[in-house]
Amino acid sequence: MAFYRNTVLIIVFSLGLTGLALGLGPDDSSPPELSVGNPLARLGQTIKGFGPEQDKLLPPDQAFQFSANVKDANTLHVDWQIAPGYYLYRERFKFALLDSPEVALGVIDLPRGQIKQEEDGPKEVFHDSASFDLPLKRNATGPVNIRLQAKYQGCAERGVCYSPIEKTVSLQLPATTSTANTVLPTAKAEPKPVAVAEQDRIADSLKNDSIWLVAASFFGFGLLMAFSPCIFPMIPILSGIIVGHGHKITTARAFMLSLSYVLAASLAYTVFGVLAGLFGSNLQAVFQNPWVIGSFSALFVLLALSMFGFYELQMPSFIQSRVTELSHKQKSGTLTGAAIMGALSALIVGPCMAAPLAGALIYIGQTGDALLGGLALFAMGLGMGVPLLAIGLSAGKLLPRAGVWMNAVRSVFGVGMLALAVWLLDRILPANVILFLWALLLIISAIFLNALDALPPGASGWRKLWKGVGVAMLAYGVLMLIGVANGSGDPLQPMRKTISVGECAENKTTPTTRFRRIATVSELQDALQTAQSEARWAMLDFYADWCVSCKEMEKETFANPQVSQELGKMVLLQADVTANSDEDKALLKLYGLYGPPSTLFFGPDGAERKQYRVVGFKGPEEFLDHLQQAMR
Amino acid sequence: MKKLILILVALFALIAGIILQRSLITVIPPGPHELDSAFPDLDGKLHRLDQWKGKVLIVNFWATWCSPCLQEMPEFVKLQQELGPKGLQFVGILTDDEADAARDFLKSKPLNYPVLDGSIGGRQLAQKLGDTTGVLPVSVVFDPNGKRVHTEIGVFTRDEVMEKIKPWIK
Repeated sequence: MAFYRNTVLIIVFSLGLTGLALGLGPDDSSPPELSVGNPLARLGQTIKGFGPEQDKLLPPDQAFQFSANVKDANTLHVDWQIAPGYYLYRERFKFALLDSPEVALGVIDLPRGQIKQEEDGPKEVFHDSASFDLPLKRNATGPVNIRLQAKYQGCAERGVCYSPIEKTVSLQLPATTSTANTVLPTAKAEPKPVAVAEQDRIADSLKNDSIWLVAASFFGFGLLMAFSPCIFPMIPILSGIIVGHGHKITTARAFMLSLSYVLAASLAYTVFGVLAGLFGSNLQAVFQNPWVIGSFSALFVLLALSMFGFYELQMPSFIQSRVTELSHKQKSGTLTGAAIMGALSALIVGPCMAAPLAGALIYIGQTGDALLGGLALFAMGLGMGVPLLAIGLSAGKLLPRAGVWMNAVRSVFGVGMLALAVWLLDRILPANVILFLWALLLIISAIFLNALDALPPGASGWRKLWKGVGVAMLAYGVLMLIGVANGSGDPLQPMRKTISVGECAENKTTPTTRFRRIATVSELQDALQTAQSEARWAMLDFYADWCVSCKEMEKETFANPQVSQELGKMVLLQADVTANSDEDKALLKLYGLYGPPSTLFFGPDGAERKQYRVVGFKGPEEFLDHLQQAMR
Repeated sequence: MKKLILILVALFALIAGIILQRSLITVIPPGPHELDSAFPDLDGKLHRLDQWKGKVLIVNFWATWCSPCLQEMPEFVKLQQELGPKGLQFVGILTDDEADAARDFLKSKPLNYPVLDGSIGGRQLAQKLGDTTGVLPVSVVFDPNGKRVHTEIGVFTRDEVMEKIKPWIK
């Protein structure tokens, strides 16, 4: 069932990706037919010397059918099938490998083309087909995934040219026996486009800065899970292995057995994590769609209900009994046996923990990082295994006693799930609705902690502690409700009013950064023109209500007094693309952006400083640094 | 219950896929104000396209790598010289990132009409004006009211230009 469930998750991811692929297909080549409406219908007459059946210009991808494949470990092969009457320029082929530090392009030996006399001199062109090899230089021998970017440009004989076409394909290189120093001299490989650098940096910082933090929290998460009733099926299996080993077992041996059991279980989770990371990349784009966000938060609510015991998620009993049967056969007490049982147990226990596990997997999927995913879930498995290791050490003497407290742990997970659901909804619902949901969650949880019940005389210390926590949650929940009534939307400062246009004259304590809202492309161009005529710098910020980092930027970075002061010198423009209307899309498309948060800078000459684009969140210090560099 | 969840998840996924697909294929619709945009010239100064209202405007999308574009341009220069006083105005818009190449090009072959840098938004405008395949050259004729009257894809010859501007300029 755990496996089943994860398969379903993977289906979710892949369907999303399919949608993405379907969506992107027609997008990069514009609509294929020219016969639609207005002046285009007359196109047939305007193109000279061709019969009616030849009137249609082929869309670029039909005129030039591009394919690339791996010839051997050190060679790629690229091929274009060119439609009759169309040709590609030899001098306009360009290739680059994107984010592949271990591989570089070697010197390309382009075949000679036919000479064509053109307006600006003779040019070498390819008709019918173009096909050649791209040699590679490799620094490492292992198999590696690369992304090849190919740029090419061509025309039709009838006198029109296509804009340069850019294609990126993912290829898998097999392991090689030779590395860079044996293959071909240095190449003039295309430098990576500057615009990508910023995004890379985000991915990098996610990897470097927080990976250990993420792993640590997943370890804690696993530890917490170990104290839920889910761990019970594992205990008899493990003690079976240890005790079944026979009469005399040393503590060291028992520990080794439990360790290999735990490690194997962790590895099984690692696989899930890696899968989620792999299939979840690009998921962030999907997560901007209100329907997707809504669906996932609904899923979280369902999972939360199972945590509260409304229903049970379990592996079908026939599989459960099969595994238990197997465990009886594994009584030899070998490390391998223990490991096999560990991996199998991960499957048994999986469904009981499906809810938190699915939560974890969805989270990993969102980061789209397989390494992070694997590491996080491995850490989680280890965390879950800690009590089992303790059991192994004590050779079965130290078994946790079942109790109501275990259900309490489950309920904590349930509340966590609900919190995740609200967190997701934050991107699509108005801030005060979200604040209201937070308030509800806090207050209701507080009631379950008996925050309003009188303490019985002689109540235990624990009982008092929980009541204290409950009262604090209740109070904060009530504050949030007041915040809602007050028009606030910030869960961390529910009493502070959100900065809204014009209303807050007394808002002197927080120097706010004022943006002029831009709704259309022409409005933007007007604003930029004005800035240019005043010889001022301009900054354009793309913002959306559903974009969490945008809100963080507003609150932490733009509101920072120093940043605010620096920004005061500039013309500040903001495009609110929350609605994702056609005009919003046009604005994003204008700069080739996928979505907020993105911040663009324009010099006093009105030209964009492309290399200083900020994509994603930047804290105040970092942003100030960036700003000073950009304006230098 | 388990089955129900699975079915729900599958349904969500399907709907999500469809919605995503639909939301990604929206093309910018041709608006009523087709001249309502502006581009910088090669010195960085912005020009609004509607500043030439009152004239017959021919917006020519081109690039230095586009041989047919270079072929038709000398004729445009002559037409601008002859018919400019009668109210004909050519404007060249560079598509893609071409400003530097164009500066070099124009040193040897100067034009007598403005050339704007359309590296941002030029291609989108051409598409909006009828160049659905994304090819060059494309020439779009606007009447003195700023209404689009013709989109020529491919080389725009002298005779064809004369034919299209006949109602206003003889």
